[in-house]
Amino acid sequence: MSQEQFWILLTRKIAGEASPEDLTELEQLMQQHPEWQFASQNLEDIWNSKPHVDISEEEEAYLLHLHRLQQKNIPFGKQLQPEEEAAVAELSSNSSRKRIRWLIAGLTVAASVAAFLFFNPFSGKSGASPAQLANINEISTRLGSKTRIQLPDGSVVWLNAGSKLTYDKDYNQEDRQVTLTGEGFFDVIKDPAKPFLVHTSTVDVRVLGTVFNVKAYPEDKATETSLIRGSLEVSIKSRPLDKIILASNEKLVVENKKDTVAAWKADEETDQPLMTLNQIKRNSRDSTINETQWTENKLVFDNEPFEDVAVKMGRWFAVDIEITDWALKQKRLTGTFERESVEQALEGLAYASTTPFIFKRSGNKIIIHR
Amino acid sequence: MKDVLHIKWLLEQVALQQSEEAYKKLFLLLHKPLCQFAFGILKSNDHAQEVVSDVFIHIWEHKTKLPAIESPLIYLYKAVKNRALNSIAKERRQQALDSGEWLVPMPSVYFDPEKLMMTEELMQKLQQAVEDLPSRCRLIFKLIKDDGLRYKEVADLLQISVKTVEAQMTIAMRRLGKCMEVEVSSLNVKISKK
Repeated sequence: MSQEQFWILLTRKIAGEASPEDLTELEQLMQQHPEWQFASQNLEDIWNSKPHVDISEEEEAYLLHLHRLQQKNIPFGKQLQPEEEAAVAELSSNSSRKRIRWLIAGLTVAASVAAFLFFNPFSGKSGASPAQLANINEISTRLGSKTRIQLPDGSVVWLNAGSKLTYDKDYNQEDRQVTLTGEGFFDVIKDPAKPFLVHTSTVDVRVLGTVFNVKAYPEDKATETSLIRGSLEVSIKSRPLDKIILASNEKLVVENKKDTVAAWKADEETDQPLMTLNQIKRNSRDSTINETQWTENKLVFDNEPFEDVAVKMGRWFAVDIEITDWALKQKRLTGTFERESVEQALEGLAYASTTPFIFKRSGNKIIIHR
Repeated sequence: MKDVLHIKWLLEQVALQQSEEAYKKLFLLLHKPLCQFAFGILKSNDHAQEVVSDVFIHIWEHKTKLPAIESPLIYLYKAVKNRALNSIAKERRQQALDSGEWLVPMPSVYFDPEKLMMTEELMQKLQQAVEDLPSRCRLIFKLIKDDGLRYKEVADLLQISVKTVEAQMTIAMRRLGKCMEVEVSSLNVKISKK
């Protein structure tokens, strides 16, 4: 009973809701239970540490707000300066948080739907007849293996573990279209007359002649498009009118749609995938690029949560890795593996990790715990 | 953030002096927490920003009436809540009215391990404990801890009793405290082994 009372009083005190009587009573309880001292001191510290606010983000929001005031013709002394107007135009077209250059294609909705259907002759499985299926080439890789393919036009594709690439017999007639599930590294021969298109479940990528990597495993949280050189255009399935142009060394990450997140369901109509545009990081030692290291038979992760690393390792070594501990799942790991077995790799990680862990293997299943 | 007197003073400056400087300060101070609150109801960032901007526009348009506002913080949260709910299509409003469904974006609950003498492990435990709180409990915890609302104000805003607010707050604090009890006992074990 006294413990229940202790928590109520302590909470009141920290939240600034306690009466003088409450404080006296709390003090008495604390004297009887000095073991509560540690928790109560720390809770007070936690209470007083305030969230960090990115003031530049708030300034941007204020600028947008002034712009709205102006649009509504509400008199406000401070008129926006021309350079601020330009900043506002940039912000409102960007949707402030995601600094992405949107290029609104001048297509009508009808035209884009027609184009969408035209460009996706075999994306809808139900619509494909057996005759059409017979004309589709399919290359797939098992877990734990990788392959290199040369397409009819001479373009080269490396397929990472557990991936599938399909293209039909019309490939290289008017254009070059492939469908990817999983991860592929593309070195596309330049042919401006025949655009090269990669379809995935979340995004479509359109290029003329470039080198790029697409990571689109359906079970992953996001689809990543990394451009090594040249230029490339990504359109997101759920918003076909907007196109994002990537420059060299840029990487676009688009969240994959997950129906399981019930909390977000209410917002289906306005739901738009989260996306971020990043620079590709080069390794400071030898300026290699992490995103494409797998084509050289290297498994690389750079400051990534263990749970994501486990998924990557699972595909790479054809095993099923399960982490039982929440804190371990969040633990960020960095490492490069080339010839190691999965056991050697995990031993190396356990040795280097500040949070020690152990693992047990039985058949294809590996369980990691503390 | 918690400084209600400061917010009152800023509002007074806006009302009496038409001070744009004070208006801007008010916006910078409250925009983010209000957006987070609106996001909980609307589940869309752009929509939340629009609603909060509308509330601030309303403030500017009615600035002469501001001194009459007794508790400005709760006034603003209520204005955001009403506007947000009104902007939701009728079909979905019934569901949206249930504050148990309002989400709080996670980064709002924040610990700075640099300032606190705590291990990374304990931090992660605390963070997880906050994440695991039921959504209404987390919302109440966030409104009181980060946004500086009083028990009474949260009760008023969410239309629940003060007792319920207190019970939810106590649950949150107790769960955080529990994380540290384990820490204490493992510390004791280490010492006794020596």
